[in-house]
Order: sequence, then C-alpha cells, then structure tokens
Amino acid sequence: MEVNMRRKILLLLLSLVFTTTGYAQSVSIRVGTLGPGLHFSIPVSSSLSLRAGGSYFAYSHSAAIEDEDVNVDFQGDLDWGGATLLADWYPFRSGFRLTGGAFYNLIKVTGTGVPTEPYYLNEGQSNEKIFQPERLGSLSAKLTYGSKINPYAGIGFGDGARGARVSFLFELGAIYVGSPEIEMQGTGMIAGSASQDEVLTEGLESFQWLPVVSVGLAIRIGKASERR
Amino acid sequence: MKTSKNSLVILTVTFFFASLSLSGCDFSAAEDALSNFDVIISLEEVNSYVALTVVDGQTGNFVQQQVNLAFFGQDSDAVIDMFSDPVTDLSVSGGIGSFGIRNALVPSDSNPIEVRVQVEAQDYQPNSVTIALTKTGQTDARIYLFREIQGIPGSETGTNSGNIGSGGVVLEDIEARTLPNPMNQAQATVSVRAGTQGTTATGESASGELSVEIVYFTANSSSTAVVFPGGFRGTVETLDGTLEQVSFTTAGFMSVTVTDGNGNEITQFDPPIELSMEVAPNTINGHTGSPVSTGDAIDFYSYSETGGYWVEEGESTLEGPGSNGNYTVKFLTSHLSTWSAGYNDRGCDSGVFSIQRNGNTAAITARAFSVSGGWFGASVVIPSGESDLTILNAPSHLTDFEVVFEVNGQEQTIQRNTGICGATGAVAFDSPINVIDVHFALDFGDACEALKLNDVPAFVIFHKRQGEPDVSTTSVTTQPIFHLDELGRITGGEITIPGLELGLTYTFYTTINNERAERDILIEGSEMFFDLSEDVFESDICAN
Repeated sequence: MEVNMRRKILLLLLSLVFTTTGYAQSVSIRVGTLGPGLHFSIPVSSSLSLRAGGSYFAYSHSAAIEDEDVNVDFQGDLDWGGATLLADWYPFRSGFRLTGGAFYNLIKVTGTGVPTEPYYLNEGQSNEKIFQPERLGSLSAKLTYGSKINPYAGIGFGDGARGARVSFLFELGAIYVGSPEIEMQGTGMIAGSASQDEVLTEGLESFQWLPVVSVGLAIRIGKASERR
Repeated sequence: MKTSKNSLVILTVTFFFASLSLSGCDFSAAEDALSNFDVIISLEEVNSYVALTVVDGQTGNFVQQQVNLAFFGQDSDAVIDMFSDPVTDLSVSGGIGSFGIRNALVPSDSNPIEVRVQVEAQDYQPNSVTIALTKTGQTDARIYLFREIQGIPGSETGTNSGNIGSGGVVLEDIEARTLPNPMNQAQATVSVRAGTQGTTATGESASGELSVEIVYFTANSSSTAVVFPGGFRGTVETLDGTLEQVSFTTAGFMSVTVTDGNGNEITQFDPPIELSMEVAPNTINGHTGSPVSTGDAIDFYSYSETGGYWVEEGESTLEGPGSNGNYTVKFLTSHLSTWSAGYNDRGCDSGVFSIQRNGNTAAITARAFSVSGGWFGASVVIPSGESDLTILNAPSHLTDFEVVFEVNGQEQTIQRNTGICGATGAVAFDSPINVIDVHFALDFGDACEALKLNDVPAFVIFHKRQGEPDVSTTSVTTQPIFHLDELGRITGGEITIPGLELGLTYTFYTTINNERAERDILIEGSEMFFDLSEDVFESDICAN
C-alpha cells in the first residue's frame, strides 16, 4: 500500500515537471522540521501554484540506559517526513503565500529495550528473587499515526517561479496528523508491561498537530512568471 | 476587493494559529503517562500447587519461626515458586506458604506427583513428609513440628549414662529403658555394652560421660501419627538399594540420641549396640494379615534425615509375649537414627466415602487412621463443592480403620473392622445454622496501591474461627479473580468463601511471595471487604 502511494506521488511529480502551463516552474531544496526535502512548483495561474515534493529524515540511535532497577540496551529508529501535494496562493503581489494541501506521512518511531542485567526483587531479603535478563525478555514500542494522509496549512514567503532565478523560501505551518498511536509488544517476564501502550497513547492524545518550519532555496526553471 | 482579500488572509492566518493554540499539546499529560509507566512482571499460571501449613504439634498453632523446606525425591525437580522458578528449598514464615508444580507435569490418581519435604525450624525437631498431588489445582498439606519429641502423648522417654575410657571405649554396660506406655505397657531399650567404642560424627573418639536418651512412640494417637518421619506414604530404600514408594505401618518407632561428655553426638559404635522395642499384640503382621505371634518376622527401618526416606535395615523375629502381653523385637545397629519396627506394602485405595453436606459448603477435613494392628494416619481436605472422598495409598494389610470428617465444628465418623482397601461408607452432616457463602472484595489499599504483577499464582487464603487453635485452619480451594489497573497491575480482586457462619469472627491468612497477611473479620453479611494493605506487602513487589 505504501509503495503504491509512493509510486503515484512520483508520477505526479514527474507530470508536474513536464507539464507545459506557460509559466516558469521551479525546484526548491528545503530543510526544516520534516527534514531535508525537494519540492517542484508550477504556477497554474498568476496567483496560484501547485507544489509537490517530499521531505524525509531517518535516524537510528543506540544507547545503554542506566536505571535504578535494571540497565537497558536501547535501540531506537526514527522515520520522519513524507510527501506533500500543495497549493500555494499568492494573494498579494509579493512572495507571501497561503498554502494548503495534503501530507502523506511516513512517520514512524520505533524503539526496543532489552535489559542487560538481572532484576532483583526484594534484594538482600529472605524472599529475594533474581530474574536474569534472558528471562526478563524485552519491550518494543512503535509510534505511528492512524491516518497516512493529513491536511496541511501554512504561510510562507518566497516564490521560485515569479522572482529572481534563485530565491529564498520560508514556510511556517502545521499538519493535522491526529493523535499518535503507540503500540507495544513484549517478550518474557516483562511482556505484560506492553499493555500500558493504551495509557501512553492517551497521554499523547493532544499531540495532534505537527508544526512545520522550513527554509530553502528555489531555482526557477524558465522565464519568470509575472505576478498580477 | 483588495480589502476583502486582506481580511481573508488575516482571518485565515488568525484562525490557523488560534486553532493551533487551542488544540495545544498537553505536555503534562504526556509526562504523566511516561512517569507512570511501570514494569509489570508477567507470571505464568501455575496449574498444580500445594497450600501448606506448618503447625506446632504440641500447641496446635502455626510455627511462627521461619520454616525452611528442602525438597527431595523423584519429583522434587518439578517444584516451582509463584514465579515458576524451580526451587530446591523454600522459606515459609508465619506457618503458611505455598509452592507449585511445573505445568508440564499433570498430577492424577494414576500419575501422582510425590515430593519429599525436609522441614526445619529454629527450636524445633526436624521432620520430613511426603506430599502427594493427585489432581491439578490446590492440594492441601500440613506439616507438624515439635519443639521436643519428649512428652508427646503416646510416647515415653528413658535416659541413662556411663563412663568412657581412653580411645572412646565405654567402661560399663549402659542400658536406657523407657517407662511403660500407660496405653499398652510397651517399652523400648537401648543397650551399650562395656567395651563398645563410640565415635563422633567428626571421627573423634567419644570422651567423658556417655549419655543415652530414648523416646519411644508405641501407642496410636493423633500426636504420634503426625510425628512419624516422612509420613505413612513415603519412600523406602529396599535392601537391594532401590527406592520405592510404599505405604507404611509401624508397631512403634523410637528416636535415640547418644552424646559424650563434650556434648558431641556419637554416631558410630563398634561393636553395634542393641535396640529393643516391645510390640503390642494387636499389631497386624503385614506379611500374614493376622495379629503378630511369636516367631513372626517384622521389618526394621532407620530414617535417613538427609534423604528424607526410610532405609530398610532387615527383619527381626518377635519374641515373647512377655508378662505385659507385648512381644519384643531386637536388632543391632552401629549407627543412630530414628528407628521403626513395622511393615510396608504397595498400598491400596479405599472405595468412595460419600458425604451429605446438607448446606455445609466449606472444605471438610478428613483424618483416617487405624485403631489397632500397626497404625498409620492420613489427613485429607475435601474442597467445597466436592462430596466424596477416596483415601489413596493406605496400607493394604490393615484390619480396621476409622475416618473422621469435620466441618463447621461438626464431626462425623466412619469406623470399620475391615481393611480399608475398597471400603465405602457414608456420613451426613446436620444443616448448619447461619452459615453463608461470603463474597469478599480484596483490596491492597493505600499502603500498596498495586502489585507489579499481572497474576498471583498459587495464591491461597486460609481461615479459622477466631480463638480456635491454628490447627483448625482450612484453606479456600478456589482462586480469586484479580482486578488490574490501567497499567496491568493487580489492585485487588474478589473471591467467594463458602461456609462461613454469620456473626462469627474469623481469622484469615494469606501469603504472597512469602509475606503473610492476617486479618480478623466479623462476618456481617454476604458481601465483605478484605483489606490486604496494612502491615504487609512491604516488598518491591508493591508498585509504590
């Protein structure tokens, strides 16, 4: 499903690039809260452009976490970003724009914790219990969003198709992604802890907006379009 | 037009940021969720477990000292604790505890799981029993300990002493003889002849004064039955060295202790010393099924404290009878132990004894024993909801037996002058007055908001009427339903306890991870509250 959607977005991008509209097109490189990205923009009227692109960022992190109960080896993976299909409306004769559209999110955060030392219950007491790490098992968690396609709204400055050949871009906006969902799974004796994923999901219930801030450079392809 | 466009832009931007701020992220909720995260220990259900009570045989109350149990025998490697960890030993505090059997083993009548248990507690004589599980679920077991075996009803004591010369050689004949037992006049004697060399457990020669003490259990009583080492269904090491599960009867058994002037126990004698026991004439010969007579053979056994089983030492011939009507059996030994004269066989099962409960829904305790003819004893708990009893592995050569059933202060007895194999019978209890089934809400309360567990396998609740000795305590054979909080931790539960008398105060006991809770609760209705929070569960198992 995800692969098909990516293909569709790629086809759309290509069709935009090669569509002849009579206006100059632009390509922009951006970096921001969604990671580094590449966008193609094509004006469809004197004040409206269509833009497609994507940003993506992946990061992995391993750490040995020291805890008062038991030390844990942690492995986390972050997939961040997604593809966008946007409309930029330039209401003034300037680079200021209002932007709206859809964001196909590829956001996924996963992490796995594996205890590296025994867990002591009632340490030093007559009823002391020692659970070795291999018996304790592991806990893994995955954060995703329920809907892959999310609405986006924002404002920005800079118009690659209508100004200088190279122009600076700034964008501020937000994606409504809905509440994140945390799914946990466990093995061994600590497997039961995974049932707390619902509590964690509830705790993050209000995190429904993804802020977007990005800066970039746009390069015009072709003759500059005229602002009305 | 331009004005309206600007207004639209301003409105849009304002709406956009207003929406963002209104739907602002609640960081404190996220922080709370993360900080509340707790590691829950998932425990596997234990299908077969033993509800254990350890009772002082003289006072009838629970042994309050820490009791150490060591597991022996073929199925001992199947013993697990509530965490499903294999255990070779277990500590029990306050006289109650529990242990489980690996789920891979499914006990049944045809495939019983038998665990030998060696029991020790400070200030008490060690004891050992064989606990047999013949079904899944809960099996009740009671172990008796005695501070001193002297003075137990049915036993008599004798002492004597003499001098030891150089090289640990006894200088004079020393004979310790018990007083005649008032019930059957039977006596026992230990004879150490002059010239016998005594050696301590560390291999040193005895020195100073040699003291001999003997305790002889020869009359059948509830006290002497429970002190019989290993229990009457146990393991014997036969003459060819193999271990077999058998059912014992004993005509009498005695504990012999010999110490030197330094208080060291003498464990080896050269030449052997002579032990003599008098056997009551109503003892049934396990080989012939008839009362013993002159010239009959009788087995003698020594008890292996380390192995937790009886060792068949051989057989001897009955002499007499003497003027008191008793026969005498003598044998020589070079080591000291607890010694029994009696018989063993493969055992047999009784038929079904049926019980008309007539509203007595609580668990029924049944004690079976032989009145004469070499005695044995067995104690069985009939769970609530069950109304029949089969006594398993009783000695097949018994010629009489008695079974006493008890519930809610009532006793009913079946007595037969026949062997127990295949025997049947029926008893009926009177309808109890004001006895109800009580539904209890279990709560871990403020002191322990929750247990970091998703289950408490082998959780057992015991109860007795307040003021009665602990020996009257019975267990609840059903498991509670545990309630979990949103994190999956146990916060409490519920259980229905049958057969409690309205208006009476009961003492309830329970144990989790060897921490005992005790509560006195007046039964005021069919819905009651059992607060498990106070002064218990201080361990890390508590979530807070």
